Amino acid sequence: MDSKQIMSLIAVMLGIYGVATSRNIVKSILCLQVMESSIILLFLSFADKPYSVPPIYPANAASMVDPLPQALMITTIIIGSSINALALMLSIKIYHKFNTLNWDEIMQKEH
Amino acid sequence: MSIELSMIFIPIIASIILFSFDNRYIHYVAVLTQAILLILAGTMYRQFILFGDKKLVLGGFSQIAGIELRVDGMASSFMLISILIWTAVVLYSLDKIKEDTTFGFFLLFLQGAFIGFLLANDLFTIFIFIDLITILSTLLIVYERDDFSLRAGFNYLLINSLGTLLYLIGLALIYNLTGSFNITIVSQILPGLSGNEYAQLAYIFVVAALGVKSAFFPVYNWLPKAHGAAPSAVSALLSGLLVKAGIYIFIRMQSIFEPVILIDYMVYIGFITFFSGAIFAVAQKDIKQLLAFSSISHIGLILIGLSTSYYGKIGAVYHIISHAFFKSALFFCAGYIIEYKKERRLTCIRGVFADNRFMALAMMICLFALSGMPFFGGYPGKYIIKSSLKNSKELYYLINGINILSLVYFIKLLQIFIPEDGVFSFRKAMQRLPAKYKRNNHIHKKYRAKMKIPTSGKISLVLLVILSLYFGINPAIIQTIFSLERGESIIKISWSSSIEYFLSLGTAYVIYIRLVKKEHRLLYFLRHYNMSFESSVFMIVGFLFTMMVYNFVFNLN
Repeated sequence: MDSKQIMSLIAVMLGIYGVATSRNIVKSILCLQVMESSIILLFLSFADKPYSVPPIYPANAASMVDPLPQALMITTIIIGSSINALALMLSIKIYHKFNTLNWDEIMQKEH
Repeated sequence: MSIELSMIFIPIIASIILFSFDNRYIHYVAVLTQAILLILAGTMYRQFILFGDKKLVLGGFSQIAGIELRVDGMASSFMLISILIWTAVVLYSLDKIKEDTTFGFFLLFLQGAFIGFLLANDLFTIFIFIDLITILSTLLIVYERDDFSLRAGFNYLLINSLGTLLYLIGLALIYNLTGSFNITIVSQILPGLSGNEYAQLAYIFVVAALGVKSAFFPVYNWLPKAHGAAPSAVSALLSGLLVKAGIYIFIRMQSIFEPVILIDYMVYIGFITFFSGAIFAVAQKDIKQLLAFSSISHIGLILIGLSTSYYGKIGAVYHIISHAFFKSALFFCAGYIIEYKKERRLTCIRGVFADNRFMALAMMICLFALSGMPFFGGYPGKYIIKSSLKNSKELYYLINGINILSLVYFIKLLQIFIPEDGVFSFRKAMQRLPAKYKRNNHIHKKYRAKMKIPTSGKISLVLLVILSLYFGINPAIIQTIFSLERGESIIKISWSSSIEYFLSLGTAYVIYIRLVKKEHRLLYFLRHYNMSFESSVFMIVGFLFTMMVYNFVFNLN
C-alpha cells in the first residue's frame, strides 16, 4: 500500500459517508460520483510503476504502464456518467412530484 | 457471427426495430425474437450436451486482455430458463408493448444485457452488464412514473450502483493479484492464494456487492419497494430472474476462489435472510409486497443450499430454476387481480375463483409450489436443501421451524380464494357462485365486467404452470445440468417428508388463526417498519465490516 492507494481508499470512505449522510438527494448522487472517481484512482494506482510513461503510441513498450486498466477505466467512466445522468433525471422527476429534494420527506411521504 | 454473439445482439437489434418503426403489427417482433432465441438456445444446449464446454475470445485479442464468452452447463441452462421466462413476460405484456413500444424496447434490451451477463467469462464484462441491467431495470421500475414507483426506482438505482462500486474495488484487488480479469486464468491463480489477505479482502468486497444485488439479510431493503412498485410484468422478471443474477455470480465466485473463508458465515446469513423474509412476508397486507418478501426468503434458502455442500448446491440451483417459474406466474396472477379489482390488500380481495376459474387454478398450483407441497414445483429444491443439513441436528430443526413461517404466509395468501359470501366450499365455488354472482350484480357494481384474460396471457400462464409442474414431478432433470450419472438418485418423494409437510401445515394453520388473523401487535410493527436510505447505506457498510471482522479479527474459519 503506498500513499496513492491509501488516499483513494480514504476518498472512497468519504464518498460512502457522503452518500449516507447527505440530506439532499442531488448531494447523494454527487457523493456516489466521488466514490466512483476514487475507485478509478485506486485501480490506476495499482497498475502504476515508478518512472513509467502513458501508453500512447510512440512510447517505448518497456517503460509503459499497463494499458488494460486504463482502457477499462474509460468504460467505467462512461457507465458512471450514464448512471449519473439517469439518477439526475429521476431526481428532477422526484422534485416535480414531491416538491422537495430532502430524503426524509420523500421517504416518509405516504403515497 | 457465432451463435453466442448473435444471441446477445438479436434482442438488442429487435428492440431498436421495435422502437423505431411504427406499424400496427410491430409488437409481434418481440414474440418472433423470443421464438428465434428459443431455437438458438435449444441448439446451444444440445451442442453443450454433445461437445461440452465452449469458449470464444472476441476481437482477436489474447485471452488475458480480450473479452471472452463461455458456454457451460450453468450458462446454457440459465439461458434456456431466462428465455422461457422472457417469453412468458412478453406474452403477458403484449398489450402494453402494443400500446407503448418504449416498454418493449427496454424489455428486449434488458434481455440482451442479461444474456450477455450469463455468457461473459471475464469479470469486467460482467461488471458492465450488471450496470446495464441496473440501469434498464430502473427504467422499467419507474415505468408508471407515479410517486411510489419513482421513489422505489431511485432507491433501487442508488443502492445497486453503490453495490456495483464495491464489486469494482474487489476487481481492483483481484487484478492486482493476478494481472487478468479472465475467469479461466484467475481461477487458476486465486485458489493457490487462499491464505493471502488481499485475496480474502477481494472475496469479501465481491460478496458484499453480490449481497446488495441479490438481497441478502441486512441489505435487502430496496427489493420489496422496487418489486411492489413496478408493473406486474416487471416484478415477475425482477423477482423470478434478475435477483438471481447476484446468486449466479456468487456460484461463479465460489468456483473461482474456492474459498476456505466465510463458509459458515454465509450459512448464518442465509438462515437470517430466510427467517426475516418469511416473518416480514407474514406481516404484509399488500399482495405484491408479500410476494416480494417471500422472494427474499427463498433467496435465503438458496444461499443456505449454496454454502453447505455439493449436494446442497444442486438443490439450490434446482430451487433457483423452479422458483423462477412459479414466482413469475404468481406475480402475473397478482397483476391480473390488482388490475381487475383495483385493490391490493389481501384482506379485501375475495372470490377469485368466481372471477376467473382458469387463473385461480393456475395461481393455486403455483401457491402449492411456493409452499413446497410434494409433487409441486418448489418441493424437490426445498427437500434437497433441507436434507443437505441433516449432518447437524440443530440446523435441521431450525430450517423446519422457519419453514412453518413460510407456510403461514402461504395460508395467508390462500384467503383470496374464499368466496365473497364467506362460505368456503370448493364445489359451490366451482358450480354455483358464478350464477349467484350474476344475481347479486347490482350490489357489486364495481366488479360488473367479467375478469378477462387475453389469449396471450393465458398462453404465458399455461407455459409457466406446466414448467413448474414438470420441475415438481421430474427432479431427474437436474442431472443433465450438473452432468451427473443417470443412475444416481438425487431425490425420492418419501412418505416421511410428505407427513412432515402436512404436520408443518397444521402448525402453520394454528399460528395463522391464533396470531396472524387477530392482527398481533408485532405484525403491525413489522408492516410499518420502514428503513430510511441512510440506514440502508450503513447496513451495506456494516455488512462489509462484519465480514471483515469475522474473517480477520476473530479468525473463525
